[in-house]
Amino acid sequence: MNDVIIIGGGPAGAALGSYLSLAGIDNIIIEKANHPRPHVGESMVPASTRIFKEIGVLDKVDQAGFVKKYGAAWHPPSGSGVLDIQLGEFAEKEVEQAYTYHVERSKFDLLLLKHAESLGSKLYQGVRVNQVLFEDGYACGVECQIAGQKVKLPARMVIDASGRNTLLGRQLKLIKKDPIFNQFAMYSWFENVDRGDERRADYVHIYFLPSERAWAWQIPISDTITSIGVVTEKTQFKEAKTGVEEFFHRYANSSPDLAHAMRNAKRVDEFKSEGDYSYSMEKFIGNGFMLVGDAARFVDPIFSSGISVALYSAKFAAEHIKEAFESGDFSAAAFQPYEEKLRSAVEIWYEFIRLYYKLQHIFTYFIQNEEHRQGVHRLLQGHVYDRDEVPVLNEMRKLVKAVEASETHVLKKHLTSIPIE
Amino acid sequence: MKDTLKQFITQELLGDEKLIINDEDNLLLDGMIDSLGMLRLVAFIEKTLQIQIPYEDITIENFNTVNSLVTYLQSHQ
Repeated sequence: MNDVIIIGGGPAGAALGSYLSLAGIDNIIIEKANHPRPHVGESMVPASTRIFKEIGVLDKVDQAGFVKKYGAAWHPPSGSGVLDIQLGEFAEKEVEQAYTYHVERSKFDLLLLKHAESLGSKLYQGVRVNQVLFEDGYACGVECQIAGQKVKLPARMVIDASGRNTLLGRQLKLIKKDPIFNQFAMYSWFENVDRGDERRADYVHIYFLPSERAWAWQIPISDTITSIGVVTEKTQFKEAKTGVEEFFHRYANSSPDLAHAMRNAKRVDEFKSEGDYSYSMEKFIGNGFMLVGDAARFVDPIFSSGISVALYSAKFAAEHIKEAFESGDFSAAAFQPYEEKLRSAVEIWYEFIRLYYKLQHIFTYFIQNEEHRQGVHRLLQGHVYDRDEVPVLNEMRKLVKAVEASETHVLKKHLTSIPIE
Repeated sequence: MKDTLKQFITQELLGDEKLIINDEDNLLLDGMIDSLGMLRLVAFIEKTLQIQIPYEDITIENFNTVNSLVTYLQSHQ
């Protein structure tokens, strides 16, 4: 009998495997692809550094040659006045690193996976899991596909880290599509992107596009390659009745700053797209199983939160798995605190995201405001884990209410229809 | 106060200190300053003049012209 089977070898699965191995709990990571494999989500927040440190992979990550991310810049749709922040302005106490990373995911995910393996995780690559097996109401293993054969692997616990494949969520019909966001992203890699002045060249750049809920990212992947992505409402893409490439360029050109940055750009990879954007599982836990990372919940990527959610959910899950092996209690009730912890953390991201889309100016205003600047910084760094009060979000909600209440407010015309309650 | 405001508007928001703004020029309607610029102006006032502007007061009436802004600020000093 295996202790723990982890479905998926992305950052969530690899971090969880690492934590469990460090705690002396046997684990197998079953990954359907053969790494390296490409993946979207190339930018990170500084909170991730803490996890890299805890599982002992920070040096490897730091020396792998990833582009260091020292800040973020926002470009208004009008093309006037770039706003930026330096991630090190309010550096974290514990992790004295003024930067995080932009990563080529194929390389980064492989690095984490190999690290987990070096700590003791067993790794099966190129193996597809068909389903999670249950017995007496408890997850008891998985059925996988090996060389055309269905093979059953038993385990005390099963963790779904299958990412946006949401294997267990689909099997148990737990998926709830996000009622507010139905976004669509299209992206590729380019050479010869003008990343702007040198100080900000390695920042993530966010371009507001002159269409509600639409924006674009610019992420440096290497000295020469830049990832550019356009995000919009899915309905806008459908109604346009054009192909991805044409739509991408039309939207990219709608921002004077982005059009300028891309004036000599040459595409060096195929276009990829990502739909069915945000969702949450009805529950993240059950008897003998837990869901981590994107397999549990996915929120809009505007703040580069995804990898940090994957890593922290792995950390929290590992704590509770350890307890379960000590107490012998693998029931849903024993894992409930994990769900609450993860839910409340991602809820903070989600609220920040909604307020941002509700009134993009909020962000601009708060970042320039002496009193709130640090609060916004903390969020952008990824300080959403293990905290209850987020005063800056209450303050943002107050501003939205004031704008809603006044007919002549300067920001009135910028309010979108996003519900924030 | 008036000169401080005008200087910030021309130098920082319009990017040309040689520009001349009249007290009754409509700052909002002529597209002179967009909403982002207005928020920068609010932040500037709060920091430099030490006057707190409640969210509900960032209205067209109060920020329409240099004169209306000064009248508003003087009544809230």
